[in-house]
Amino acid sequence: MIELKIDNRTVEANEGETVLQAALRHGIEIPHFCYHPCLSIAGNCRICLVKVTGRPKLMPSCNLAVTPGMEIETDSDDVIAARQAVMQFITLNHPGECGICDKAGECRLQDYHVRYGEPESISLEPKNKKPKFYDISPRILLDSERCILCSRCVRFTKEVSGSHQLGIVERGNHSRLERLESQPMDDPYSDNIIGLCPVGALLSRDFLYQSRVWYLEPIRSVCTGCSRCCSVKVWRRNRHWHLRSLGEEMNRKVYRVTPQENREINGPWICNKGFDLHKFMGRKRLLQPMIGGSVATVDEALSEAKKLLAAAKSPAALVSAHASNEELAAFKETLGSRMTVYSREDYKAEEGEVVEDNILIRENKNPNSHGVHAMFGDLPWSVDSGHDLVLVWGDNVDYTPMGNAKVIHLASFEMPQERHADVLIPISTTFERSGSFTNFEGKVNRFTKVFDKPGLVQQAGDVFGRLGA
Amino acid sequence: MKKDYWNKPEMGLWERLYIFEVVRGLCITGGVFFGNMWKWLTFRKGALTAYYPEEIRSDYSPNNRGRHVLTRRENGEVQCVSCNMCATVCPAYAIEILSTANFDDHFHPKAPERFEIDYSRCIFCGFCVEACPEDAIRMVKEVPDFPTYDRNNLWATQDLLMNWRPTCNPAKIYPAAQKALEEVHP
Amino acid sequence: MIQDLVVYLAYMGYAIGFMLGIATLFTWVERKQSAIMADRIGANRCYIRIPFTNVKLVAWGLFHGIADGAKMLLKENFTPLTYDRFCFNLAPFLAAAPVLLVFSVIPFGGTLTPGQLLPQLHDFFGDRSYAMQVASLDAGILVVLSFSGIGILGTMLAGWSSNNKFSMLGAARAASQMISYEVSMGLALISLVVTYGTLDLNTMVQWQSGLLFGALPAWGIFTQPLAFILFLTAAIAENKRVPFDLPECESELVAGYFTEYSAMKMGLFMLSEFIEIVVVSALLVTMFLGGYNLPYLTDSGFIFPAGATWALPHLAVVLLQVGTFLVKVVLAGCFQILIRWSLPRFRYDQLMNFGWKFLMPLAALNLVVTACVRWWTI
Repeated sequence: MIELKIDNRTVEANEGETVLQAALRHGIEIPHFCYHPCLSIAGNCRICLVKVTGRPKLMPSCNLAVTPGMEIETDSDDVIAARQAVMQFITLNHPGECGICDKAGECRLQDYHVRYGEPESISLEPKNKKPKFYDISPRILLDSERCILCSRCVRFTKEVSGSHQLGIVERGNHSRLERLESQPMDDPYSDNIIGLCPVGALLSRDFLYQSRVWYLEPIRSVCTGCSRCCSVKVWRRNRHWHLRSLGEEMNRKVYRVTPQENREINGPWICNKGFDLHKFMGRKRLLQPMIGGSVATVDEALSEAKKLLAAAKSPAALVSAHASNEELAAFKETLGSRMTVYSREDYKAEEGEVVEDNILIRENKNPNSHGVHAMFGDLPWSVDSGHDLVLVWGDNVDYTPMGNAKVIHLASFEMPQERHADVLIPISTTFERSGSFTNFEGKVNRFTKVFDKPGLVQQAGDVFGRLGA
Repeated sequence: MKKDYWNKPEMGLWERLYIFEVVRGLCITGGVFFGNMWKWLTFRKGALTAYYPEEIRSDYSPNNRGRHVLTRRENGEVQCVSCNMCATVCPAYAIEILSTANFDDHFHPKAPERFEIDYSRCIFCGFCVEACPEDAIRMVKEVPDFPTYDRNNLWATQDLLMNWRPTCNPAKIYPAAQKALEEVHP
Repeated sequence: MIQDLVVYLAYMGYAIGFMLGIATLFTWVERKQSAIMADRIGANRCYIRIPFTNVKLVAWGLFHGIADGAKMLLKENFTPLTYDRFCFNLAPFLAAAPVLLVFSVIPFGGTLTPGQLLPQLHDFFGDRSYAMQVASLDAGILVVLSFSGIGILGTMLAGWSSNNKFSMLGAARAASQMISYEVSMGLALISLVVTYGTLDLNTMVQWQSGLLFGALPAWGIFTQPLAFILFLTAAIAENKRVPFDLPECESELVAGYFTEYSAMKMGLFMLSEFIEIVVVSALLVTMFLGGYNLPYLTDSGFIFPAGATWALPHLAVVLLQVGTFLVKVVLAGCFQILIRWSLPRFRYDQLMNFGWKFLMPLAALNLVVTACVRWWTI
């Protein structure tokens, strides 16, 4: 424990911490671009300069180890003057096109420019021209003019994802970010550098010009891509900014998915599959209850299912690994005792997908297998167990292995089938309900509802309640 | 305890008797009534209001700003870069913009695909014009002739905003830059 | 007997038609008069299109009353979730019915002898004659007072059963205001009774058919000017209209005691307000403005003070009297509307002070003076 003074406040810091870390931990704000808690310290942006009593020059706080009795000033006049000078330097060649930059609103450079920047450029030289809208990968665009060369993205590929695919080339004014291999970047964690970028240099092609960020609000949810169950922020349109003329469906759209920092599970990162979660959820939905392939009302479908359940001699249930713990508990309470319960994995790793690595991605591509196994065991389904009714819960189901058994199917997404299910009930997706998943380590991660479910779609828990009653 | 108000009226006996002042008030309003009624009965207009929209007043102020114009660049394309500043500043949430990317034009990679103003919400405050960094939206002195039976007709589309021909010059007359600077920093 | 039935049924039809018709007319007058007073145009968007043509009959907005009625009949009848269902439904009727009943004792014409109207009717009616009044009661004024007292019940029930704070406040205000002003109204009427020496409204009107000082008609407004002002003030307060509209003031209580009402139930409250204007006007006309009396008009024709006479047939006299009453009522109603659009609303303490500390003593004083004068002149 080391005691030091920051802005006349006595602060306790840990051994080996830097001044910036100690200050941030105690809620003292020191501006910074290149520093990131999960990356190595580069110390190249110089905006975090602070005054250390007894030393003649200002020191970069991100690279300054704490020592006992240190006295730091973070907002004296000379520190602010230095910050202003640094801002002038950083924005020397910055195009200043916040109006059309997707980062505007959550951009550090913009924030600090408001605080420390000059209203007008005092440079007489024309600004440097650099490549704009350069494809780093099919997912990411680079605008080199906006880049401030903080090297966060480079350090990310070196230290976190380990792909070493980015580097800074050329010198001086002409330095720019560049991929180091000739083929496009294929790092499975590449999208993290979009959020990592303190300015708008790295842009998501998917989110490009979709919306200004202040129209959106994040909802905490959980990625269903694998059994890691990473925490994510799902960005929907703020109620305040709902659109009317451009279409109501824009208000029910997920604009982007970004990582939600969760030290227990995923740290500040998620993989590209997580960034594509809204595309996974945006597939064609099942919206209409069906009986034997013909349209039915919810009540009809439920009573038909109830009839089938009552008539069945040996019913079986295939429980989805995409079901939340709460729904699993509801199922166990209402129907679990009447049926033989098998667990099923909705999705397997696809062709070309990273199956497993030692960063985040897990081999099991379903979020709640751990929860299902803990509650119902892990008996796998086999054709010849002689069941005459199968209640299938989950997506990506093929009815062929069910043989002649009657099928009651609860699914969220459409999937072409050889034959119709006897009863088909649409259920909500993860975005349309609240609940929790248990990840492969047994850690429970909660998610909250992002949208209301469409009218005829049911919550699986309610369906079981009505079937079991 | 009776509270005295700062604007407590000073009333003499005459006012306190109330009835006479009431009668005086009735005479005033009655006088107006009969005056206006006489005008109506002699086939003149006895009201200050207009039969909008059948009758449109002719004396709009020269400072009136009634309709929006989207300006164009020399090549005829819309000046707007779809930065959403107008939509954000709009106190009535009347502007909605859908953007597209056009990487061929390096100077204007972002452009509006749809730009719509809901005139049923617009309060004609002119904040959008103030907020626009590109001088892409202006308001002109034009009588807004919007009355309709369908509120969807009150959405002005980008096409309309760009192509309708105002009867007056939509250009803003800017004070010379030097003069403006002197005004700000004398 | 059958003749009596026919005549009284005709009277009742006339009374109901009179009140509803003029009340509907007043909704239009209120809109249009206030508009003209305020340099506006007023309601003019409602029209009837003549079928198969494009001619739109606007008629100065007269159809707005019909449109209002149609709208209120067709609107959804919203009711609050928690309310006393019986009282909630009863209240609008309790508010509207007594107002209608008051009119039964008001004479709207002189004596009708149906047999003399047309020669053909003489066989059927003979020489029977009837006072033009639905119910000729000796205690006419008492009936008026008691029925207007029942009206309070409707507003109180409405406010209480709506289970809404605004309604409750409105009802409380209405109750205290109506009871307070009823006192001065009663005192003003008693001084009238002392002057006329009767409680029967028809007798009062006949009393007023004479002349004062040879030329001035002996109307109540001339014999009892102070009572006229007191009665008018108290009646407007009873009617809960500006400047005494505290129970339903929009800026404080949404709509006061009938906030929770919708559709025709709300329409009944609105209609009863306008019917009440008609009734107050009718009472004013009956007691202070000579009723159906046209100056110098008697049952046989005009008799001018200079001695000239102009005999008229019975039919013309009846029509003149009925028409006079009608015109007087409409003018008195217009005067009430003029007041409503000229004066600002009282504060509640001012209202109570005005009622108890000013109107009531004045009415009592008026009564005492009247009684003394009456004592000395008899």
